[in-house]
Amino acid sequence: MSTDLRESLPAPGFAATLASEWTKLASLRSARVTLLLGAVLGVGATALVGWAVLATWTEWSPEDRAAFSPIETSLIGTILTGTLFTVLGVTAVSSEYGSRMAALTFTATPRRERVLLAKVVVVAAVTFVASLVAVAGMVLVTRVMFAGEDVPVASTGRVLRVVLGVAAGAPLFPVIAVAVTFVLRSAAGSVAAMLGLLFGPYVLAPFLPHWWDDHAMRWLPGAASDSLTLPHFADSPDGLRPWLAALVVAGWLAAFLGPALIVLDRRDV
Amino acid sequence: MWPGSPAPSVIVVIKVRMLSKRYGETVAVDGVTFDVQPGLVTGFLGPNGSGKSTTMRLILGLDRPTSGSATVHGRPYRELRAPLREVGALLDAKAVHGNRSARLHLTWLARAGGIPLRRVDEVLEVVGLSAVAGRKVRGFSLGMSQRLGLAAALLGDPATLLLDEPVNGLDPDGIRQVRVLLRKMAAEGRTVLVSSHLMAEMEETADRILVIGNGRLAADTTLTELTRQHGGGHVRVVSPSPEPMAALLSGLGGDVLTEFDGALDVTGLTAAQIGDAAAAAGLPLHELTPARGSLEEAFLDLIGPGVPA
Repeated sequence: MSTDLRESLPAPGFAATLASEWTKLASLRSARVTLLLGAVLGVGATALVGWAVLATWTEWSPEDRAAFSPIETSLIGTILTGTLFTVLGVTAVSSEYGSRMAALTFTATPRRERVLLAKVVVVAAVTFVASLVAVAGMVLVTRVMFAGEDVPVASTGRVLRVVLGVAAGAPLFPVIAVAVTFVLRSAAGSVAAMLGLLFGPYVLAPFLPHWWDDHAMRWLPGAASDSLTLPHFADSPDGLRPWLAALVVAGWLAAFLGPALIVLDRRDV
Repeated sequence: MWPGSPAPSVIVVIKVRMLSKRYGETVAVDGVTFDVQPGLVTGFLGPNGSGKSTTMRLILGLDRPTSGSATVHGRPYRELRAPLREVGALLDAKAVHGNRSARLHLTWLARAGGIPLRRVDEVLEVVGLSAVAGRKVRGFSLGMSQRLGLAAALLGDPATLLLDEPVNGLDPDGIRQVRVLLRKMAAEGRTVLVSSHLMAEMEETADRILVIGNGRLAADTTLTELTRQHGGGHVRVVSPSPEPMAALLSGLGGDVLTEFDGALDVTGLTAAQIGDAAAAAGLPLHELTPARGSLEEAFLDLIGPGVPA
């Protein structure tokens, strides 16, 4: 009886850990709520801004009207969506430590790096798909609102590039959140750290010398990721070239995931 | 056995060698060495905070030892290829995410361990939780959580079980079921290491006893040995002339206490010695009952007083 399971089955590998982590996240009610809230709030914020533009439209100068891009305006909601999806990255890990379930997780999968990588993959996949849906919703809502108005309409190809680009960059902060939470282990601490990382540079920018704005900002994870996934928005001289942006994003991921892997391996569960 | 091959040695499933764990200034486990063999229930006995749970966490690779080593099936736990199918563990029954149902809790665990999902409903049946399988774990009583923890340990049908205080919070019927289950597991040739701070429970469950106190191993022996060596061997003596009898037995080196009913409780002498001495002195004996010392006494003798029993 006991030999059946042990000898007839292959040893569980990374796919098993991935399936397990997917089951965990999919059965976490807070994860579903966070995803839904992120998408709804994002589309709602975009609709609100669109409505404000429409309400004042007749007062806009012809030059302002010509320069107005509904697509870029529609992305305003991604600030909220991105923030909530980052919280999802925190929750995916803090739920283990908050419930002390981590001991069971690492008893089942003692190769701890597998657990971290599986969580990264699951969180990245979920936030990518959810962002795709949310951004499509934002673009659609703006399009419907501005139908019939005298605004420049983006080509379908450009719309698809923008939606895909935003979605492709969306997992970056949630994945960093996974790494940070494995180190900090606390939901509150990790959310605070991630909010600081997301908004700190922009909040502090006005108080820092110009040098910061001119030279440092574009190397930050969010800006570098935008240069990579939305290169057509980065025609401005501050953007990094795509290959450099890719290196910078990879560097940021390594800077957060590396220490998390080391700490996870060495520290007591 | 081929001629000339080494003599078969005792099979050891869990091997702990000079295991120590220090948290800052606190020494939780202090140079512990023991083996756990298959086919037996090994009781891991010690008061709360004595180092039982830490030792189990060290065996499971959750905590890193300060020094020493622990292996399961010949390897450090973290190197096992399919750990849940080799070792089932119950550490902290309440350490479960409350928002998941019992079935989903076991489902993610089964997936992680490479265990067929049919086992989920099988083990829920074994521990008697089938009726509440779809209910959120948050509403579970401690007893139900213990059953779920036990289900998780049994999920991979493992050859080795490590259970930390598995009957904590169970009702008498649940305690009996766990005892029967552990005996059955051992009878099937599996290895069972079960910890408890309740001695009565070990008395009826364990074949071998490891006693731990203040992080040190105080005894590694069989139950009979333990109570014989440290249980103080009492003999109950009833005589119509208790005073001369007490004086006689004290004179022979026995410790004599007078019980409420006038009987003498004698330690340090065997029933045979007492009977012979009484006959030689011409003192009548109405009762001469040797009683094995209890595990409680053995335990107190080893660890010292002030131990929660």
